[in-house]
Order: sequence, then C-alpha cells, then structure tokens
Amino acid sequence: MKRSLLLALALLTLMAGPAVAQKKSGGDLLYATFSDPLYLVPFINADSASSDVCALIFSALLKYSPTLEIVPNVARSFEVSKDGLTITFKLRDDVFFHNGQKMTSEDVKFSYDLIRDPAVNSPRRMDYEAVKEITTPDQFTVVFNLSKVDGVILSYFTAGYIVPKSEISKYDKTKLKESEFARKPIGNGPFKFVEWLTNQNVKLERFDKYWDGLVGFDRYIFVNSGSSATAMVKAEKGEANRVFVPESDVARMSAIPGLNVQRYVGPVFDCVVWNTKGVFYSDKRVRQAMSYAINTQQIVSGIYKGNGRVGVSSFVPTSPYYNPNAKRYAYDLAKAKALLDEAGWRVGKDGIRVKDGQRFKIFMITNKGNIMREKILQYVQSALKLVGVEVEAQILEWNTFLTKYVEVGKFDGYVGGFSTGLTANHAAFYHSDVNKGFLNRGRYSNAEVDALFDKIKETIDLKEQARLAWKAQEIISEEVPYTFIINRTQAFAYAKNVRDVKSYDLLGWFNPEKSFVE
Amino acid sequence: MWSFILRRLIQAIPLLFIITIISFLIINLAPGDPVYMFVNPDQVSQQDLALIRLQLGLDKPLPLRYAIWLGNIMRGDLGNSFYYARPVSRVLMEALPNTLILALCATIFSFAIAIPAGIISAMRRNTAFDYAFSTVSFIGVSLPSFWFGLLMILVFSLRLDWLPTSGMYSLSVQGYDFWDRVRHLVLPTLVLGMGTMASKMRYMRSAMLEVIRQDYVRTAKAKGLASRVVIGKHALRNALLPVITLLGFIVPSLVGGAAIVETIFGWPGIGRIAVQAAFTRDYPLMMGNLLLSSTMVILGSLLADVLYAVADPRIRYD
Repeated sequence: MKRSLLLALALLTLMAGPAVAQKKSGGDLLYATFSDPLYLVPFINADSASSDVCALIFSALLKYSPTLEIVPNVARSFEVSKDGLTITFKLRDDVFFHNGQKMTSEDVKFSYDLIRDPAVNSPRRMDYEAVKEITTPDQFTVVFNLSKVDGVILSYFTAGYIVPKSEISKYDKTKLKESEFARKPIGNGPFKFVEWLTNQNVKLERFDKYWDGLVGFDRYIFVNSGSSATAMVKAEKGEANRVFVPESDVARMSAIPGLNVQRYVGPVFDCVVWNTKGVFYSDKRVRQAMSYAINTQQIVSGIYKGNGRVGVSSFVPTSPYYNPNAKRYAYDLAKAKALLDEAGWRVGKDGIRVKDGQRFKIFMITNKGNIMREKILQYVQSALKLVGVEVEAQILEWNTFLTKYVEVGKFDGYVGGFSTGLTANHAAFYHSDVNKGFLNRGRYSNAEVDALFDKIKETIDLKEQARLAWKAQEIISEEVPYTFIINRTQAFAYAKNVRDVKSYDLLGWFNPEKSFVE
Repeated sequence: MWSFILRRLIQAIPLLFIITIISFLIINLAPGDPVYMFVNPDQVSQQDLALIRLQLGLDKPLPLRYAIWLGNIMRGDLGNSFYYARPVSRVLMEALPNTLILALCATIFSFAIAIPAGIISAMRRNTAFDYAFSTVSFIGVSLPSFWFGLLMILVFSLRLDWLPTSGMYSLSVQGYDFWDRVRHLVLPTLVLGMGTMASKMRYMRSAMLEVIRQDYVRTAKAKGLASRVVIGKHALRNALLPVITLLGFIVPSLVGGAAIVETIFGWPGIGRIAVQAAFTRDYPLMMGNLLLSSTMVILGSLLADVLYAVADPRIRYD
C-alpha cells in the first residue's frame, strides 16, 4: 500500500516535470502522547486527547486564519444578514466523507441538529442556543435562522462537528459515546481513521480525496507512551517526531540538536482573583495596591522560566480584542504603600497594616497539584509582606478548593487559571449576573462592564466588538478585579526533518495537514 | 481435599461481599468527583454538572448505588466505565493478555535468578558471594520502579540505543514480529522482576538453610554422595516446597498488573488502566478491577494451600 502510494507519487512527480520536483509530502508523523482518547464523536468529547484526534479526521465549515480572522473552510462562503438573524453557508461541492459519500447540506443540518438536541447532551449545545432552525434550500446551501443576534456564534463554526448522516443515524442518538462510530469515526477531514488500539496508538492515514489538495503526511499516528517523561524520551531518541513539552523541560529539549521546539501563547491566563465583596478587597485602591506589589515580571521569568507573557488582561496580547492602552501596573512598592495608606490601612506596631482595629491578614488559597500556582502563592505571600499585608496561605485538594472555598466565596484571594476561547465574549469572568458571569468568583460587579459585554454578544460587527472590548478593558484595568500574572505558552518539540510546521499564538499548530517528513 | 476446596470457595463468597462493600465505600467517599472528568471544572455551569451526575447515576444515594451495582454483578454485568463509555469487562479483557505476558516474563525471570542465587547464598552463607547477592537484591527491591525504569530507558534506549523506549512493538513493523516484541519486553521485565526478586531469593535461601541442617541431608553426605547430588536431589526438593506455594501469591499480581512499570513503559496493561481509573474517579472501572484482583487473591491463596498439600505429603486437609 505504502509502496504503491510512493510509486504513484513518483510517477506524478515525473509527469508534472521539474516544477514540482521538490518533495512536499510523505512520511509518518509519530506524535508521542500520554493519554488515550475517550470517544471520537467530535461534538461529544471534551478531553483534549479526543479532540486532537478529531481535529484531523473532521473539517469545519469555517476556520481561523493566522491573523485570527474567520474564513471559509468546507463552506465555500458564508454570509450574515443585515439584521444578524440569518447565516447562510454555501458549501463546497467537492468535500467527501471517508466512506466516499459527498458531503451535502443534509449532513450539516443533521450534525447541528444533533448538537442542539438535549437528548444528545453535547457539551457544545449552549454554543448554538440562539439557533432557532436550520434549513437546506439546496444540496449545497445551509441556512441558520437565529432567534436573537449572537455576536460570537461564527467562531463556533470553526470547530469541525460535521458528521455523515448516513452513518450516525444508524445509532441511538442518546448513546453515541458507546456507539461503534466512537471507536471507528468517519469524517470529512484530511486524515481518515485506520485503527485504534486502546492505550497503544491511534493510526490515521492520508485521505486522498481531501478537497484542499494533497495532504502532507502518509500517516499520522498518536503513540500513547503512558507518561510525559517517556514520551519526551521517545522524541529524543527519534521513535517519535512530535511531543508536548511541559514548561519545566523547554530549556532542556530546546538544547537537543535533532529537535525543533515551537512555542506559542495559549488562550489562557493565570491570575489572582480578589474577593471584591470581602472586607479587604471591596476598595479598588487596595486591589490596585496588590497589582503594584506583585512583581509579575519576576514570576514569569523566575517561576515560569520565561514560558509565557506577562499577563495584563484576560485577552492575550496577540488577540485583536486586546487593548494595549489599558492601565498597567509595573512593580512599584511606593505606589502600593501610598494607595494602602490612602485607603486607611495604616502600618501597625508589628509591621502589619491595621484599619478600625482590623489587621490586614488575608486568607489565600490555590489548588494542590499545580506546582506553578503553589509557587505563585508562596511568592505572593512574601511579596505582600513587604507592603504590610499578612497572608495565610492554604493549598487545597481540587474538589474541596472549588466547592468548599472558591464557589462559596470563602477566600480573600486565590491563585487560579482560566482558558478564554478566541472571541471577544469574556462576560464569564466579569458579568455580575451569575448565569453570564459564571466564572466571576470574585463577585466583581460593574453595571457599565455588564452592559458592554451584553452589547458584545448582540453585535455582529467584529470591529465594533473590539471597540467594546477595549472599552471594557479600560474600566477593568482601573478596577482590578484580577491581578493578571501570565499568559502561558505551550511548547511542542518536532524532529527537525518534519518540515513546514507553523505554529501561531492562540491557534497552535496551524497546518498539520500540510506538513511532511523530509 | 475436594470438600476442602469446596468449603473454601463457599467461604469466599461472603468474603468477596465484604471486600466489595468496603472498597465501594472507600472509593466513593474519597475526595474528588468524577463529573469533573467530563467538563472543564474552571468553566462549567451547575445545570450541566447536574445533568452529567444524572447520566452517570451519581444522583442516587450511596446505598442505592451499591445495591444497583451488586444487582448488575449478579447478572454478570460489571457496568460501563465512566471514562471510556465502554463495558468495564471489555476494557479489562483487552488489557489482560498484555498484563499476563509481562507478569509471566517477570515472574519467570525473577525465579530464574532468585532460586539459583538463593541456593548458592545458602550454601556459602556469610561469604562475600552471599552478601553480594543480598545487597544486589535489596537494592533491587528498594529502588522505586518509576526512577529505576526511567534510568533503564535513559541508559539502554537513549545512550546505548540497544532497546526501544516503550510500547509493545515498533510501529514500523508490519504484522507480528517475535523478536521486536521480545526487545520491547526486556526492560519492563527487568524492572518488574527486580522488584520481587529479593523476597524470593531470601525465601529460597532460608528454606535451603533449614533443609541442609536436617538429619537426612547429613546422612546423605555421610553416605559419601557427591555434594551436587545431596543438594540438587535431596535438599532442593524439600527446600522448594515453601517456594512453590509462593506461586499462589503470584496469581493476583499476574492479573493485577504493575501500575508503575506499565505506565513508565507505555505497556497497555491492567495496571495502567487501574491508575487511570483512580485518577479519573472512574468508579465502575475501579470496582471491576478490584473485584478481579480480590477474586484472584482468594483463588491464589486457595491455590497456595492446595499446592502445599500436593507437594508435601505431611499436609492433609479434611
């Protein structure tokens, strides 16, 4: 099989003449992982191992460009009506599923109806809450009718959830997880599924009828090596040519001659969340003082060994919604002290500040197991001592941390991390309505910020969304509900002979279907 | 003998029952919540959590959940794994052959070294040879296998490039290649075998020491038999008796898998599944795994008793 493919390729090259003599495809990508996928139904899984595999087997209607614009993918074009209530996708007519069937509007409608069906219980269901009805005027046109304007819904169409109706309709839709499809998926993406041996490997193979020209690798194999350490050794030895590199190993892996370590900023931020309804942090001057007293630059270079960008917003600096003019808090102890004095917290006899008989002794927590967060907490404890704030720090088991402390507001501050997605909608972190601001654990509330995020959700124009997000960041940076610490980078090592690997901030490995092994 | 076996098997039923109650309680009362394996705990709403709980059957009170689980077990159904969304029995049966291969090789390897080493140590006790063997075997049992395993990979795979790092076979190999499989087995077998070698060796050594002090050994020597015959034929046969019974205790480890070694070497066995199940709070899978190992412990100790009687005519069960 492989030989005949190579032969065909050689013939093709000969026929095409010297213009394409340069080899642009071939080879096996061996990705050393350390956890197995769960079920390969793209809109049901939520774990990263499964979605990594699905991302290669399934292709979406739209995709992000390297500059984070939303552009057509298996849709040839898309159009949003003026009132924002109708989204029309014109599909490509040359997209095939791996079983040979042509992808039509029926498959698209079927797939999105499934996601929206409560009986299927897709974790993605609420993303399409605004969709009222999906119609298919012809074989290659799909129309989404919305019940209300949704400013961020387009971004959800960049995830590949289109499944073949003829295959999926064979199964009980409430039990797709357990279906045969979940172990043997059939998609429309650049790679087709070959085999999955539990806890060993998942093998994919180039799909020759992929609409977007020739796919690079002959095979794409996920090799489950059990542990991160073994996975890295595999890449080091050349038994694998792609591996995830944790922050602690970036320096070491970068020094290995045969490897090319690529880093990119993820859509994530780590921060200290202040309890804005508590005794200490209801005053914004006190929160500002904290941001001045915590040296984020030092945390990034010391604790994270430079594997990240100094955090200044919940938006990552490369995001179009990030406001570079928002207020920053460079490390400044004098300002921190002045602000605390101004807020009425005077330094007491033992060096700890006091106000109305109350000592400035705060309760801070983080979750056990995340060493970086534990170190940040220790750092903050010593940093705040310098401005006369005593920190009682506790590291708690995850479940206890979340349900007994964070969710019930039993903290003055906690070290945590969030992932943000790529849209302008950050209401989850700031909105005072618990349903919209479901991650706003510091119970921050500001009517103007609420209104701005509500407006973003109702605005179709992305430029206008950016303007609103900028405005929101101006207020947020002044009010400091969070002290932003870092936007972490992710790193992957590739063997040097894996060519044309392109990684972009927020998107990661951008062109897995166009890379090849030289 | 048969009535003894039957009696022991009947006794095993309430024992298993108690084991399942205790383990069910421990597993369910341990901190951690399986629903967080299905969602990003940083960003999930309470409604979604409730829905997942309902789907997993975690909304019911603990005693009811145990009753349901027990009822299903009676019908031969171990339930579905939360994590894999597949029947527990299938998840376990897929991994069992791999675990058996590794455990058998490690057992054979450790016996093959431990028995001769134990005999020689006993014969030449308190010599440099005896101390050397004891030292090596104690180092073997004391080394944490996650460290020792990684060290072996670094030395034999990375530096010397003699053996593959992990997995059961090379991906470049098409079909079944016996020597490729053997090459992948060497390091995990070595690491797993080393851990259990010391106790077997000490067992063999003390059994041998006891036997060679017996009168009949002295008689055999006095008859002028060659030392090789005295040891190899007369003493060894009796000294092996207690060691044979060790086989009974090895049975559970054969099916239980070696959690750490399997994880380090990417070996797709039961031990690794057990680790994952614990990390992901996969209650049905943990219970299935526990039921399998505790059954094997009971059967193994029964086997040990039976072997004892078979090997030693002085022991009779009625």
